[in-house]
Amino acid sequence: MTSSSRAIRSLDVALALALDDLEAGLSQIEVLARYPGYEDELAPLLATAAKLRRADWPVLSMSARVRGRERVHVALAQQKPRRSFVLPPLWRQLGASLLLVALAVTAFMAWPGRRSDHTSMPGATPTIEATPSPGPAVESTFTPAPTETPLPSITPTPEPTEPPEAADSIRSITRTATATLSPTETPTRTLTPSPTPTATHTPTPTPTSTPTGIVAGAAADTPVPSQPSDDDDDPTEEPSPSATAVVTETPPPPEPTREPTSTRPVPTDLPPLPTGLPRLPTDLPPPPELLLSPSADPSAAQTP
Amino acid sequence: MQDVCSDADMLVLLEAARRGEPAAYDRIYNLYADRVFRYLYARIGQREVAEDLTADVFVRLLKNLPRFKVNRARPVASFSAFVYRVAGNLLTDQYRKQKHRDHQDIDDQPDLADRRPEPLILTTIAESSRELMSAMAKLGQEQQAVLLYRFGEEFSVLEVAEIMGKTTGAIKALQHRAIANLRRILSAEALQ
Repeated sequence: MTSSSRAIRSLDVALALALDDLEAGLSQIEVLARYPGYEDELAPLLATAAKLRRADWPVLSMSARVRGRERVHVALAQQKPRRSFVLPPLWRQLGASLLLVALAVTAFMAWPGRRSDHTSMPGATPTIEATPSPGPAVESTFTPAPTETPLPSITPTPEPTEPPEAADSIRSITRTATATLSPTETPTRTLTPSPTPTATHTPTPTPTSTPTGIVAGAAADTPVPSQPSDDDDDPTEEPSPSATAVVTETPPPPEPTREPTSTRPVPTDLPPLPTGLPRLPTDLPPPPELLLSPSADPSAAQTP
Repeated sequence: MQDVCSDADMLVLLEAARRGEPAAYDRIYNLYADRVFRYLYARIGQREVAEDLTADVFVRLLKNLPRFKVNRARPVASFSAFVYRVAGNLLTDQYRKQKHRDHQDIDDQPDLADRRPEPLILTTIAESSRELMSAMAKLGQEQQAVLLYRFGEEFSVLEVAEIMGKTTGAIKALQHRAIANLRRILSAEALQ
């Protein structure tokens, strides 16, 4: 950088300061006296700047000024009611975050593959297919199903279902536990022995033509006392005044299909059913004898 | 002489405006109405349209004010830049509407993104200043702009720097060159 450019830069500063002084009301002579060494350069520039200051720059007419102010006041009056509902940005962000969390929780609760959501969703119908098998391991698979989902083999019944004699092709054993829990919802459980060693909760309305034992709870939130249960399956929040357990046995179709969505072991020492429901046996008879022969002992199939 | 506002006053004024106090908007209007009008007039060249758009700028300013984040170190400069952004955006919208109506080519319109004053303003200024303005029209557009902002709109160097997106040092240098060139042009014309 040359000395001349450094001087020009200084003159830039001197001119800017001198213009500020002029704007502050000092005369040109007074201003020039404040910047010794720049008088010769500053004088013509300040004279030109003074011409620029005196120039007639266009201004807003008085009528336009009044009109504009009125429009601003009208807009302000229209905006005032809305402003009271505007939250500060921090609260808006917090509210949006809470909304997202609530949506995420709702989506998680409504997720069809979630295992325990039927306990908290009033419309969900938990379905338990318990299929005893001769094998040592008893597995259960369950998926929450909404009430709208038709279950081909089981209809959740709020009242005691028809007795086993009424069933035509389906040999069903219905046991009603009228015993007692509090609230309004009625669970329906159907137990059907099947050759598969699994207990299955199926959310999808897949018509299982398999010889399955199905335990279906009609009301999601309904507590069932002493149901052989998984912890997820436990009804909890509102006990029902009348709990109904329906145990149904269906004759197996020729070729059973097994499509469990997920499996997990069922504890062998299950708690007893509420009102005289037999416990599911841990050592079940072999599937062909149980399901295909009419002489199979139904009580053995019902007993968990 | 236009109303002036210090940085501290501007902070108080903006807080009052955010609370919706009409007096605060009156003060803002008084501070910026002529500036906004000149800015628009320089680009449109039609006084009545520029006056109507000036009111539109302040209505839009009212709506956008809650989103304005003031630079607390330079409240006046940052708010002035904000006002001119609003005016520029409104002008852009106006040109779009006009283009849509008239089916004119965009090339026929002035450069909307360019905030520099155009020689158009020079033809609309009073007769007494015509010589000065015609000399100004021979300057480059940046030099015209800095003279318009500094002397026509009475912005400080800091405000002009904020509006034009330059440093204060660059504005000072630009101002120096513009005044020097204008003086040369005036001297040459006086000799002729």
